[in-house]
Amino acid sequence: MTPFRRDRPKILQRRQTSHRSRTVFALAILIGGLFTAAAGVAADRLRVSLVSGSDRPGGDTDRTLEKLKRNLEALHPFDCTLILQNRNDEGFDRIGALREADVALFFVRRKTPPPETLDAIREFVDSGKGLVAVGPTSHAWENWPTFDVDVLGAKYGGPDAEERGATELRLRPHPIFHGGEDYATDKYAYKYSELAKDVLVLMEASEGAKFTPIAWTRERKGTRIFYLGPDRKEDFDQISYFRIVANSIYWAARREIPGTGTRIHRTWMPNAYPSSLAVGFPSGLNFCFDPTRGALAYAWDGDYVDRWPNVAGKFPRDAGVQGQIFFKAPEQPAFRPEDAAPAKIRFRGYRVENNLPTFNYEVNGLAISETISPRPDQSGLNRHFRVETSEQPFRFRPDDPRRVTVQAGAAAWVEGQLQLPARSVIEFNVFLPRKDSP
Amino acid sequence: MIAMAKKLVLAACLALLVPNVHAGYRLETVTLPAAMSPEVSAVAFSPEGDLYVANRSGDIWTADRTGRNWRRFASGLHEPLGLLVDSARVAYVVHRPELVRLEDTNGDGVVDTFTTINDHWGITGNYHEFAYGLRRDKEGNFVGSLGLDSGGEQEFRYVGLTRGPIVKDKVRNEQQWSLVPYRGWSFKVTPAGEFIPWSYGFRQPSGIGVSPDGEIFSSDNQGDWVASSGLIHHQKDHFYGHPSAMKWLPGGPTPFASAEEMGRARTPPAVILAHGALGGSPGEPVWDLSGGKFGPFGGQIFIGDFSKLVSRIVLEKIDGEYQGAAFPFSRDPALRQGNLRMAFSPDGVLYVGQTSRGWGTGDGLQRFVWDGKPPVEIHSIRLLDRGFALEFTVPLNAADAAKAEKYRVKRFRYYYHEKYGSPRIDEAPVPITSVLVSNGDRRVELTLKEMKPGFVYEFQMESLASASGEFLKNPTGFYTANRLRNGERFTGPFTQPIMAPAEAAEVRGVDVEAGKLVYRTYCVACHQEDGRGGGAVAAAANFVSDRTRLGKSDAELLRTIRTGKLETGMPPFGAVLADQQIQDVLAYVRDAFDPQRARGR
Repeated sequence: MTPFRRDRPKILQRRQTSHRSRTVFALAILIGGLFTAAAGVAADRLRVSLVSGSDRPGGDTDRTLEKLKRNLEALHPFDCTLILQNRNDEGFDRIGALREADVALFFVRRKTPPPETLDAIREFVDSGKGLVAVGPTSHAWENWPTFDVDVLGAKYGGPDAEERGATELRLRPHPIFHGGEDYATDKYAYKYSELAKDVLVLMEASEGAKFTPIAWTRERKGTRIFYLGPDRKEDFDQISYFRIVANSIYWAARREIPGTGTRIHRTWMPNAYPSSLAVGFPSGLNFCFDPTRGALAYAWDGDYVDRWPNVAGKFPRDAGVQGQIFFKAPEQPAFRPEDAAPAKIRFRGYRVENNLPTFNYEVNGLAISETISPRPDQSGLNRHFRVETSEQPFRFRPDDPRRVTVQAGAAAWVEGQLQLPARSVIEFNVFLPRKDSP
Repeated sequence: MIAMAKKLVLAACLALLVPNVHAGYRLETVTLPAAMSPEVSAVAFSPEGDLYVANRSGDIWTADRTGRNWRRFASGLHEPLGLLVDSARVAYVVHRPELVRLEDTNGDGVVDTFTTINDHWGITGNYHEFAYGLRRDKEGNFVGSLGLDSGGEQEFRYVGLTRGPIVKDKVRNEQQWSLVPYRGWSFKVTPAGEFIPWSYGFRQPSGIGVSPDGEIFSSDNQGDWVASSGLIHHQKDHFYGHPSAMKWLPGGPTPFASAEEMGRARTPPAVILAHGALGGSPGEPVWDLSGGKFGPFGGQIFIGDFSKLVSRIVLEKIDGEYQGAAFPFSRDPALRQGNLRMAFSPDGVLYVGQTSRGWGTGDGLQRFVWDGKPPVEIHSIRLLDRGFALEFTVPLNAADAAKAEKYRVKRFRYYYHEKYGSPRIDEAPVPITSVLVSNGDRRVELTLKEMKPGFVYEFQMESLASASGEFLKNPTGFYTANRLRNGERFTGPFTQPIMAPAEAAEVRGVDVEAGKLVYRTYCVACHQEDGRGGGAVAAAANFVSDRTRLGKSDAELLRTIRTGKLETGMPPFGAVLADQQIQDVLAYVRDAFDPQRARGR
């Protein structure tokens, strides 16, 4: 049983939604256009290159991407550049725009670009920027035939020999699908195998009784990659498909997908007490807060947790941490009373304000509010503590005293520990760098 | 363009509800938003009448009364199985780790503050550690219950990371066990957050209800030490039969010398939901307080089941204790599986939330709407000194109603033992000595030859019709007579039959009609009325299209019915049905779905 499978045949769902969705789409563009015009140009617009290079019969990607450009720019703070195929030399006009792009979307099939063009593409793919690959892009480069395995992390196995009938889709919970959960298709053409271990399949399509991957994410050399198999004109005409494409551009750029914000789930997390909190910021900084231990358990750099194992069957498994752990809490609790009594911890709950969570808990009567936020420069996490001691003085034992700054209150350093006097309120910050820094 | 848009809106509205019409009650399917996982785990209405639905993934969504205009109210909860909504900004949830207060402090429509009210119970990470709820008693205390851990130690992967003291000793060979505090208990939490262990000895009390007069009830699910599911009346400090929960008594487990002694100390379920006939895994009880908006069953209890069934319960107090009757309410073919959460809307519509992860297929939200026409049903069965009074929702055909042969009454009971479930024991027909019809042909008093406490009395009246000639929609009822009117109650033996097997058996030839009744009681949920399968268990045999199914020998098919078939999900009925019933049901299946074989027989 798959919890996210819909119980209507997909073909039916598509037929029900397609006309309506197109109408809504047109309306959304109109309203979105007005809104954007009124709001003016935001400072942090994303630069997006749309690379067109497929002339498969019936699929003019130039026109498809031109339309996509108009819609993306109407509804999102994106500046899009079309990079169109040059039919004379198999190259692309304006390929240099890739250098300036935050994200590039490729919709290309079987090209043999000149060496310097291919170099520019290689350079982009290795740049740590965002990559969205649509449909035939897995086999885009005749002179880079291992692009599918090297970059996308899956081996292209050719088009489907038989026309499929109704296709049922299975979506894994992921913010890329925000607002696009009702995307449906009745036909899907490409087959993939030998998925790399770091590929996270987000969408599968039914193939008889089995399911085959048709969309996934991967991170390679710091580049966030999203592959999206469905590529027909009818797909691009669905508002839900458009939302998935737009969301994937934000995701690939490590930007917050509008309407999603900080993600927080209490669930089964690895190496923490059962029922801990997973928190993910759009920028790719994530952490696990363990309410039973009353502590930040660990933090990682990458994507949020994969919650699929939590919900995929009768026996839930731990959520999958998607990235590199850069902080692990020491065994010893950070807060301890001066009389070294065993810590009695009570979790009081949490609050989310401006997308930042504040955890409230008590250690032997010491009231702690801890707000964890990403640093504005994304260099790491900041733990802001506000503690209220009662009759008993406390100590805070940091991993590295150099990363602690006292903000308010009469705290003193004693033997590398922060002494918190009785009956006082103290605020201090602890910085957790994203990667090892000097 | 505008005309087209109007048409689209109309089409969308029509598509929202897919009605399935049958007399009295209409089942509708509510379309959930695409962004919401449909594994519904709690349903509630706010005082303003807005619908709130929680799902296993930890979201709470809200819609207006019509079931439209959905928006996400909260997210991030860990399998919320109980929900109380106080206002558009404040709600309470019981989820795996705690009882938590949710508040939307800035009024943007989304919960931003999660305050732990109480988390006084243990968690080990075991999948079966469900925390059920959520209701308030008359004093404003929260009421919930905690399921036991599942059996295998391999399912405990949080070594060294369990919340609460872990005690692995088993109390008495239990399969599901209470590894950490208060698993197998019901509890109250005061508004100030104090935890009060309430009653104990449950296996999976998967839905709590508080009656209009403030009494606590829950279901419990059939399994080890639970012979058949039932409705439990929770009384403070009472023991309800599953031994594992006794670990958390202040002095440790009560040192019972035997299961028989435990049986005597145990408070039995107020109403037994006879396994098979009334499902196998009930959810939460809800009271019809709609004042007639939901039809003629005002004040009665509705309880969904994991199988495609919703049942109905009528309670009465005998000698100071609750007991009563249970009936099937709906087996609508369009009803999904997993009917574990229910709520009445302010306008008297019964909403049914469904989740079936890992046990079957069927998730979502459906609702029963009364069409204003009286259904032809048994309204209630109540205990008399020497028999039972049956009330009907409509006048009966007076001549038929007075005939004793229109009613078949038998009684049975179950073992109280460590094994999983129980066959019926001491099962025997009870002769009717007189029939008295009164109250405008709506009330029938059956006097029985003999009354005994401690039995479930089963009533069958499939040939009884209303004055207008309509047969009863659900012609079966079960009355749990823990006590008789004279105060007599069953004192044992709980672990053995009373009657010798020969006394209980009815010896006769194969009876296709009796087999039809067995089929409709035990088989229909999976194999469906038309024998085409694909019901509660997706792999259930389709007798009609797959000729090989009935192409097997009688001996082979009888063996399958008796011992089950693990790979298709066919349960063993050898311990549930009498041998005669197994023979009868096979005869019916051959007769109904294999005409060729039936003709040749």
